[in-house]
Amino acid sequence: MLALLRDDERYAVELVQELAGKDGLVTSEGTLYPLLSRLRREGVVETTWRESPGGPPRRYYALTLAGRSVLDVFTAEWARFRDTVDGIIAP
Amino acid sequence: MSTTRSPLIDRYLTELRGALREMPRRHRDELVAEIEAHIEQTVPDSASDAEVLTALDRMGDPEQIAAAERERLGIEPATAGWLEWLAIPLLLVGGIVIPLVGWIVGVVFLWLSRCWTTRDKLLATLLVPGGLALPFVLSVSTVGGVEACSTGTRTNQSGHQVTVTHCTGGTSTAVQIGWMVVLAFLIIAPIYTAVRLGRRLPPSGRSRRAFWLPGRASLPLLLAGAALGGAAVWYYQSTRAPGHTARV
Repeated sequence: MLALLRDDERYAVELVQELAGKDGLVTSEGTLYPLLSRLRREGVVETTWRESPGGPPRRYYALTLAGRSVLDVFTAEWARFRDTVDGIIAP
Repeated sequence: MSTTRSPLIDRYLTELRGALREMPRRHRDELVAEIEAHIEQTVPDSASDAEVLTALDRMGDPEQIAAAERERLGIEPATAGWLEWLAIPLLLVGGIVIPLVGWIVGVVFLWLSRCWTTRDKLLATLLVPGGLALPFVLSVSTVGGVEACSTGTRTNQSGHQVTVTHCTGGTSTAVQIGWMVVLAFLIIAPIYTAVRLGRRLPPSGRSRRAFWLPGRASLPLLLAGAALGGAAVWYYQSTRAPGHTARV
């Protein structure tokens, strides 16, 4: 979720659909909304309401500074984890 | 909000709201609004039922969303336990068994429980404060007030002392009918809220849904019933006790 926000802010529907569209990650779009709320409460994302063309205002999500560092830490750890697992299952 | 959207969406949102009933209202409203906005933006008004159902499937089972939200908030799934099964009879007849205190304990249990929404709790507390104790006390206290009698002696023409009872008051038929209606409401309303609270408990076991069948609930309900019966007998006795003078 945070990685999707790395380069640009996005609104919820966009985020949720993209993540749910990825194979094998989530089965239910709805369960991503509680996740978004948690990220907001933890202060790793911030939201702004913006007018949308021809519709109600949308809430846009963007990474905070804290969010960016959480993402960097995770990216590094994930690479290490992936390399380790790769080393075991495909030597 | 569109007025032409599919009733399937409304039904889904109602289900979701129900699954989230134990969440704090603010969180519940926010999550439902977000999911509603998502559906509004992704499902056009012209979508066929099949398209709507597909979109709702993708959104996921309301129970599953509720589970994710519970996890986020660190809430254990609420199940009905002794607290709920004591709260219901206490609210209903607690005020008769232990005047005032019994009902107040019931209210405390009611508000401690996570199984009911704030609306359920407000209704159960405020519709008839005191539960069945209120109509009970009212009917006891007004029995003597219907007629006021005074008894005295006086001497009649032939020089004998006679006892005369003079009765005044008594209420008109209209007032009496009105009173009956109020009393009927005061009796039916607490029973209605008690049944409602019972029905709105989350399904805790597989078959314990029918809470009047033998199970964890039967003991408090039986005790409450016995107490109610006892109180009725006591009331009946007390109205015929000395102090009620017969007319001469």
